[in-house]
Amino acid sequence: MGRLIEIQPVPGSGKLVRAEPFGGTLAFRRPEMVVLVDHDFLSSVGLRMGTDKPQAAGPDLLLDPVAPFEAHLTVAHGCDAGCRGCYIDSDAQDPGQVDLELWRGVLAKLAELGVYHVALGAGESTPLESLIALAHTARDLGLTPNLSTAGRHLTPRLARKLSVFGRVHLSLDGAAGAAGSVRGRDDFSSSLMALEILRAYHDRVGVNCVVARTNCDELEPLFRLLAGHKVRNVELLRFKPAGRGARIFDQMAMTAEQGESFIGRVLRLGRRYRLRLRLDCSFTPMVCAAGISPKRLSRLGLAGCVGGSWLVSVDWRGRLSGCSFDYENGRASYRDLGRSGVFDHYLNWTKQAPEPCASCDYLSICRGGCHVVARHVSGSFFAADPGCPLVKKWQGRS
Amino acid sequence: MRLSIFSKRGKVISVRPGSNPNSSSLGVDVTWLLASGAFAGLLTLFGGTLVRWALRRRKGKNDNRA
Repeated sequence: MGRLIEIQPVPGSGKLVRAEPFGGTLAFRRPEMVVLVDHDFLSSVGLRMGTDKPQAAGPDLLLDPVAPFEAHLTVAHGCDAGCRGCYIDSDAQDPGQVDLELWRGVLAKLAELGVYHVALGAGESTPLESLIALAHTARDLGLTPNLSTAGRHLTPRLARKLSVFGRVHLSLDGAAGAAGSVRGRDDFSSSLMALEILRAYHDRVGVNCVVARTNCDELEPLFRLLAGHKVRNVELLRFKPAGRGARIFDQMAMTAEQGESFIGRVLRLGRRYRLRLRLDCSFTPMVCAAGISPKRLSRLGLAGCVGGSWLVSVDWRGRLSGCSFDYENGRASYRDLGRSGVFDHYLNWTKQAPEPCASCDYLSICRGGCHVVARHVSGSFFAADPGCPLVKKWQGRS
Repeated sequence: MRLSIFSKRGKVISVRPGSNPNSSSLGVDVTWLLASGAFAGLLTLFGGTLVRWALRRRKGKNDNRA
């Protein structure tokens, strides 16, 4: 049983349980999961974990941990792919070199805070060797590194070295033409080749698929293709108005009809092709609108905007943010990691939530949906997510 | 103190299955939404049992060392 179960000790302290205001957190490498427990649970196993302000856990309370569960690091942004919706607004002239010393410092700080996972990414000009080197540093510090890549320069020799990553996901936005409809260029065949290489050399491979208006109705061919390649893990990401994506968001955002039917459709397709589906945080309003009880969603760890709380991001300039799509709020740098007050606009969002979010049963889970989308469309970070089917329904009534 | 892995005291607030592989946003496994409502309860029960087992095992190791 010991081989089937492996706890990830808290980086920095080596303890099994991270003390939280609501109780504690345990991360497992096998099976992969994060478990949040309350104070009474910890007492029942003989643990007394003091936090300054013990908080009772309940369905209406926000679960803000003492430190993020994960950090997203975009270590460089040089890329000659030229995707039209690139959220980091990549630069074809940038050679994509990585300041390894800087990033090793960031990783050390994250480990000191007790962050469990780091997801590494970069523009495609960045040599994969740099990311592999950082992943080894992360491992040495007790962090679990994951990687997302478009795999443009992937070779079998490099793929062998990716075993240092807990999980590797390839960016693939559709089967054949659908992929190109999001990126504005056709690289499907090279992506497919990268997927086959990854599958051959790594046992935890999946696909990240950005969902936009142009490919939302074309997900079934992708799911069929992935099932055929025995790729079982798929993460679907909502198209965001960040970087070059901001310029084309109006034509790429899912339509109201697509948003309303999205969850039912992808869950049906996931079942048909036996895929393990993940949805990114910005899809939470759509999940909430599907009518599943808040209690059930909360138990499954569903979370809307937990920027600055469950996750933090650092970009290639060393800027710190609550979310990879949001570097417009504030001027924090990675040196501010762990400093209080940096993410107050995220953490206090629900206190000043507008209607219909303020009176929504899902507020503590959804936290207003994607604030980056809201800011782009309405001009305010504190507006309701305009893509939420419940918000649209409420707007139609009032 | 004897620690049972099936103790009913305390609560598992949530279990987040899987690990987020994406470097831009936070993903959550929704495969379990296909299952019935009771399954979320079973998942938290499973998570809680696993945590108790792992902590009891660690405690046993420490006791042996002492």
